[in-house]
Amino acid sequence: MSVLFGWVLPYIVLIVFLGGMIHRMLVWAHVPVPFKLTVFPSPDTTGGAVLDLAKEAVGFRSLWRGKKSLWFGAWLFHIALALVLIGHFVGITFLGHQFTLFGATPEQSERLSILFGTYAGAALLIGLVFLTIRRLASPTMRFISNFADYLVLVLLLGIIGSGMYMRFFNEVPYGAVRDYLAGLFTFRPVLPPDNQAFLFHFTLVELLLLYFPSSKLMHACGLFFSRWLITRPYERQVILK
Amino acid sequence: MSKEQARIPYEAKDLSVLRLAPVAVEDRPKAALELLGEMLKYKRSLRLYLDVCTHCGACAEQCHSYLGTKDPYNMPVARVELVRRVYKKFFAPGRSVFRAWEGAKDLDQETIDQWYKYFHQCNQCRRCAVFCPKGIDTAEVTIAMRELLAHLGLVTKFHAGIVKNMEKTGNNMGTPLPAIKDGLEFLEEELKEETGLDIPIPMDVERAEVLFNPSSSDLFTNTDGLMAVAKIFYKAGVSWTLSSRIAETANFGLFFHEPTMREHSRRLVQAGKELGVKRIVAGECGHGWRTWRMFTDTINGPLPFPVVHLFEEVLEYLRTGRIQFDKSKNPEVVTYHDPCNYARGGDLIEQPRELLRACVENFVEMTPTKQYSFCCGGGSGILMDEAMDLRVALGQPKAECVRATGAEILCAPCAICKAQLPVVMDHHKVDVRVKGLSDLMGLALIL
Ligand code: HEM
Ligand code: SF4
Ligand code: SF4
Repeated sequence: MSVLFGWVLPYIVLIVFLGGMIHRMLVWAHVPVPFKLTVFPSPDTTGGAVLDLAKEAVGFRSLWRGKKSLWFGAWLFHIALALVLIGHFVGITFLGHQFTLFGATPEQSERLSILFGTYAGAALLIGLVFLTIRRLASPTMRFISNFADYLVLVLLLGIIGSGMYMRFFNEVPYGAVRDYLAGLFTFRPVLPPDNQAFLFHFTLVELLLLYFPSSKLMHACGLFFSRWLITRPYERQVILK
Repeated sequence: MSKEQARIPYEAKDLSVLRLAPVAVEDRPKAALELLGEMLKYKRSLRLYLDVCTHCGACAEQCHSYLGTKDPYNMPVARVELVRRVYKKFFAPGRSVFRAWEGAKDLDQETIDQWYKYFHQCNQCRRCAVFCPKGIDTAEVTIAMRELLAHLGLVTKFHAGIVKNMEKTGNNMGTPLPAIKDGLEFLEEELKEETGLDIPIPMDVERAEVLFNPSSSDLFTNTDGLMAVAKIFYKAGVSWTLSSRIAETANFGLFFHEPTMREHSRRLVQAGKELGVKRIVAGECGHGWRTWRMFTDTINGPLPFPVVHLFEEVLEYLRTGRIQFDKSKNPEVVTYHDPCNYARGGDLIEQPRELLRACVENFVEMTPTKQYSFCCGGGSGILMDEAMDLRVALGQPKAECVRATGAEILCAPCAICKAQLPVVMDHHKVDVRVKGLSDLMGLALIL
């Protein structure tokens, strides 16, 4: 049982996740674009267009043009998500000692790590709760929502909720988690930490990753394709600005 | 607004001009699925838009069609969802349970009716694309779906009629050549009376510098605009000509039938080549301009000459001092309506403003403006008399924007806007006169 769960399943998840994501991007890339669909005003150069995409990805500029409340919720959620993902990667790799690279003592580093992690996690949760309430509270939002929209929110609430629970009430030793994950990545499997909260958290993440390539979460990649269609520069036939 | 009001009357009976055979009613769902499958293979936009929407709803309050009709299916996201649910059922990747969670639904006759209805309540204005964080341009979906409906034999009478007129006469109004020539002679006489000068409106002059391609409505209903253009070319000393082959810049094919769009474009380019002109200048028409600016080169390129807009051409004269304006001839408060296909669709935002500031005394901006401007509600050829209730509902958000400016003149340099806005302003009791930019330039031009 634990062999299947702890050692086999993660590899299946990873293959489905990466393979599915790449497959869908390849499909998009292989469908032709018969006409230029630029929406103006647009940048004149490829560099400008790339910069535009970057600003959109970091600042959610299109949402800023509309209702600021949605911008705030969505931006808070995604920025916090980015920070938390980076935090997981760095924190677990360095066991919370990453800030010693900047001259902190190991104890200071651990405290900083916990501090940042807690704030980013809280921001993530606030953003997500806001988006969830927004979707549930308005009749128009319910009209355009379907089961999948709610499901994704519930999965994320579960993941983030259990993450915060571990942080506050049920600390899981970083070391055990790191050994487990490092084992997976180096193909020398170790047993997963025996902690209910961790296993719950980890399983939900696996479910989300399995679902990711088939779901609207593919917007994380697709958005760059679709924005490119309306952002890409198109030279005028006559230069008169 | 009631369901009945919103309905656009079916349906052109005779589609021979589109070279399409109507599909029997009971065969439509099957045929529609095949067509959708084909389109997904050659339109990346369609496929992406069906895949990447997160149902965030940011687009809803930005669509004048939803704001004006309050019909939830007119939210851009809900409009596209009418297709997305079919896509999820039959074409989307992933396990069928996953797709069911995303609202997958069979394609039945009712869905096709909804497509017909709601894709004729989208003006293809592209405002949603500016506010959607994924850049989803619902107009693209509408264009694709109208094309699909056309292949099922579902085209509005109005659109089919326009295409027929175009094919027969080279203009959308269906005016035969002798009548056009008579009309032009009459306008030349008017010009003589007004200015005392012999200002020509030439036709089919070989080796002229410019082939001017007006909207056909300029030849008969908005004649002030065409006379103004004649005066400007005369003053600037530029040789120009109309073509008897095609006197129409409005390309209705863009709205629902790509082959028609291509044919229109080909016809113009051929006219330019035969006359041996140096460039083609497009007159006041929004979607016509988008087609020239964005698509012509792709369809018929590389072109031996550029296609430029009248405003770019005139701005060049103004900046180089070949013409001058006397602002005091236009003392009224003027506001400017950005035709969707100029601003968002065709990169004409500052040029008309520079011209306006030069030829009117009191120019006020509207809110929202430029690429954020609302559509007049007539875009994509929703101009039929039968759909008057719908037209005034679609125009309602624009009417409020215009009212707030307190302007006396609404400058709307697009043939469709010019046909639509007076109706809308009248209905919503906004006291304003609608004019083209050419008209205002003509009044202010110092001859
Ligand atoms: C692993 C990566 C990501 C996850 C799990 C994720 C998750 C989500 C979720 C759940 C929603 C819907 C929120 C709701 O139900 O209202 C959403 C919406 C959105 N996402 Fe993402 N996202 C990811 C990456 C990205 C990236 C990379 C971008 C842009 C650069 C992005 C931009 C957006 C935008 C603009 C929205 C719409 C606003 C909203 O609904 O809140 N997302 N995302
Ligand atoms: S293109 Fe315009 S009319 Fe159509 S859905 Fe978008 S905003 Fe509405
Ligand atoms: S704004 Fe874009 S992503 Fe959001 S619901 Fe509308 S179409 Fe979908």
